[in-house]
Amino acid sequence: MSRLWDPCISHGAGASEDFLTQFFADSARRAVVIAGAGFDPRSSRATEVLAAVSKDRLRGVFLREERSGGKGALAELGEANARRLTELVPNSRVAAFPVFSGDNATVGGRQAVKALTSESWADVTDIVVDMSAMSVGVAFPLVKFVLQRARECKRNLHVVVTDDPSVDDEIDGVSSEKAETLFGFKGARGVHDSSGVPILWLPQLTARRKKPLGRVYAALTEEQPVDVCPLLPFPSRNPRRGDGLIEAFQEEFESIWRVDARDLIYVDERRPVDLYRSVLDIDDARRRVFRKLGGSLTVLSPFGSKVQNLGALMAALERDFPVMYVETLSYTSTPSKSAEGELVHVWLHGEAYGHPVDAAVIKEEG
Amino acid sequence: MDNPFLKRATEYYRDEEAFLSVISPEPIRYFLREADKDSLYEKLVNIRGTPGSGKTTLAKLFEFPALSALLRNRSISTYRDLVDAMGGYGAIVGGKLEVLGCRLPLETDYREVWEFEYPETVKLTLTTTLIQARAVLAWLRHLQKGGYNLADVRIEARQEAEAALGAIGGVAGTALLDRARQIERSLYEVVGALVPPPLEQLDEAVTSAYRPFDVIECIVVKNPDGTERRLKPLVILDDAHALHPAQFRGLQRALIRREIRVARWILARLDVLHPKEAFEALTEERADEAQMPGVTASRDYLAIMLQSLDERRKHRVAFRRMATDMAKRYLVQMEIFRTRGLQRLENLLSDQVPPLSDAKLDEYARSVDAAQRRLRVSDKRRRELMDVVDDYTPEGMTEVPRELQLAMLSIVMHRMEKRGQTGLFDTELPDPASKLPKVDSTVFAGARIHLLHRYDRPYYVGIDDVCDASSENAEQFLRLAAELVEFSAVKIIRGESALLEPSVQHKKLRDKATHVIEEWDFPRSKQVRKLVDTLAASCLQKTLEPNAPLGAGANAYGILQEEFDAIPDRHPELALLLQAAIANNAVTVVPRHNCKNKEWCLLELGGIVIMRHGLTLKRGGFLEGTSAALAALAREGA
Repeated sequence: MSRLWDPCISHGAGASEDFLTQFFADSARRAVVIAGAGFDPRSSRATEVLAAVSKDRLRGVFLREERSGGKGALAELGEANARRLTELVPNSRVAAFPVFSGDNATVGGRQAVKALTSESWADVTDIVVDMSAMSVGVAFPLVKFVLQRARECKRNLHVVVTDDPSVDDEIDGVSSEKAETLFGFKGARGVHDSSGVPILWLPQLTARRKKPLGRVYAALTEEQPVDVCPLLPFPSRNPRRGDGLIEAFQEEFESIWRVDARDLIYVDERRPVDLYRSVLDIDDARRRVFRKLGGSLTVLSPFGSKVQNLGALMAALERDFPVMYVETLSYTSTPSKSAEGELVHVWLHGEAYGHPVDAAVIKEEG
Repeated sequence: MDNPFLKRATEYYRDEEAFLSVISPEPIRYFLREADKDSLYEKLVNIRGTPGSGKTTLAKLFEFPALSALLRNRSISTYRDLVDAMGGYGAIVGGKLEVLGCRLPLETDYREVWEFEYPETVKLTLTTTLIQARAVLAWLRHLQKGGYNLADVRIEARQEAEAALGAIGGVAGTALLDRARQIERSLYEVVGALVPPPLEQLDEAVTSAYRPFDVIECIVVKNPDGTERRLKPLVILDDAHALHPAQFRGLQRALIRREIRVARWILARLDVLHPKEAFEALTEERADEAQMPGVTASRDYLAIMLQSLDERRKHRVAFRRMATDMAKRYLVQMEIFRTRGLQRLENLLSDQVPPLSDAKLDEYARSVDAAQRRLRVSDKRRRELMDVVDDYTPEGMTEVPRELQLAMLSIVMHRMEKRGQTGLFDTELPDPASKLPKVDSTVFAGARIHLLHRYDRPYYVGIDDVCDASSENAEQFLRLAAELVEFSAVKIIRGESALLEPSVQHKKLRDKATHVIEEWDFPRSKQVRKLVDTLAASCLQKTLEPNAPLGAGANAYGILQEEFDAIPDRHPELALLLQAAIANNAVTVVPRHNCKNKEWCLLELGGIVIMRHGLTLKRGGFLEGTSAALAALAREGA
């Protein structure tokens, strides 16, 4: 089965910065960067690189996710990052929206899409989405929406993340009580035709999000039998990271999820494409086996690092996998580090894959 | 080690038989004890409870696959009790199924509908249409899986609903399925769309008159022998708290209509209510009546609360029975216990608290001597008091350990001092025998808890304490029991006795309680933690007063009932905080508690909080307070 991103144009540490610098130095390129303007120190890293080469050929849309208790140090950091972003890209706007409604329903993804529904892409050749400071519930629907638009309007779409798992580890918060499918990522879950179909759940593990992961598992098992194959990072910066996760989830593995060593899937911590390919390989194999038994449903839960989440996003976009997640209701700790992570770039749509950018845009520039 | 107690809810089991093997009939009997079995299937039934109180278990038990499995296995002794219990509620009659139940979790999809920019009436239509389509699909799916051919399934329509019959596909099972699938698919496209279509472009299928609940009288299936059986369709809407409050009320209004023949239950947590409604529901003032004018609770719907409001003592005893039964069912699943004939959790928990070491006992005796001197109690009076203490033996004990006697003596000496009865001259008492402080169970209870804090003497010991610390919440009970079972299994593996010493039980339970509270992860959990910690600290202070004025001590904060009722209006932030605390078992509301000729509402700390702070599990002791003081505490924690 052919795949959307195989081969995939992707750049890891070092190379991605070189690529963005060279690619956007071309005066024919005009870009819009869509980034999160939150408290995360990684908020502005990619925009800095783009602003340095694109200058006035760059405009920006910066998203402020608002959560309950949105005052204090974290909110101030967010405001400071929003100011920094708008200074870097004067031709920009900040769109603020609530992630939760008054009754604590998750609405962030829908609101993010709404914030971009009337956005015009007529003046740009490239759209760059920086997922670094966006929550999963916002980033996934937003990229899906922008990908649709990029396809319709014939634009290039790039996704970048500044990856630093240690920063992810430092960010803590209170989770929502609901495990739910992400907005726009329901897949076939819940519809009659897939009821009773065995589920393969591929969660990305994070030790401090044990409880939300448990909620996802409980929600999945309410209806259907579930096989669990956790995705563990290896190779990784800290070679023992995967082992640490196995230790942290020992109780779940043994008594609840019934995971043994053969169920573990190791994916490269720094390469989103590795996770993407691994997930699709597993899904292909499972489809073959379950075809005559009524099929199976692969469900993803992107609780991992930013880079790994990008890989999960690509897999979900390609196969319409349901994505189950528990959104963070409010954040309670601030990462102490500055943006020192590695910039990772994935070209999702456009020229690299034989879909030229609308000639009218380029012509206009010329 | 595979520990089934860690599987916190029955959702984790893969097949019906496994699910049924851990289900105790006790909660069904208890919660539905006052439910008229006809009302269960005729009126709208509102079932509310805290997380882990057994809502989903109840729902799954009334589903067709579980009931069918129960009937298949009715000759097996394990299931007999459950078959009896279900028979009492009209689900099984004369060895045959009467109900075709399906459970629809409302956690996903439905709430999204409320975000669409359509008028509320349209959004409500979309919600109820999706629910009805999925209910039809679930009923037919259950029948198919149960071995029925859809060609042998039909519905009987209400006579007055003939006109709407066409819109649901007719009476034949296959046509019903096709129509419901079509409706679900159309709605799913709308719900799943990143940008929903404008109102005028909505597929006609989803806004048309698809109302199977208004049409279906019953579902008729043909048995292999050619006879027909009429089944009452039952839809159980689980996790309805996930809906938007307006959507929830709209759904209730839609389902309360008496002309609907489909049995319908709505299961939700207390959070689904507005704080004012939740508070009124907790004090049994039937909040829904205010929300739905013209609706009368007893006439139009049946309310079942999976939490004790009245007859608390009876409820506690019932929960203990249920929990021990549940523990037995879980324990036999563990080979390590089963093969050794260890089938009851209570038999693993020793209640023989070892005496204090001699050194500690000497030290304590010296401190009681010092108290005697400080309180100016003469030796003669002390001997008299000690005689009274010696005469007291609580029920179930043959001998009171020395340290407890000393602690009791200390308490009664302090009680005398409070009354101004101590002094150098013993003869001042007109009738010493009648004026000596009484030594009773309150003194004994005070002595036990004082020794807990002074010498860490094991306090939370035995199965009843595990049950009582669970705040009548099955999930919480399993979490606590899991710790004990795990350690007992480890002891067996090490070649030791499976019996857990009181000190081990006490430590494991308190450690677990601390861990659970630290892991609280729900909206406002940080503030709730702070509030209950502050309340617990005040209760502890009262508990440790040397004269033990409340016996075993305090574990609740009391507010006059009228003040409590006004909290949603006067202190809305506090109301939200309390609602979160109540919904997550951090606090239990005890309304209309009469004390000192006043009507109080007690905010009793949850069992986990009680254990963490070393308070009594015995109910009734409370600190008198005000809503304003509580609101101030809540603000400090914000």
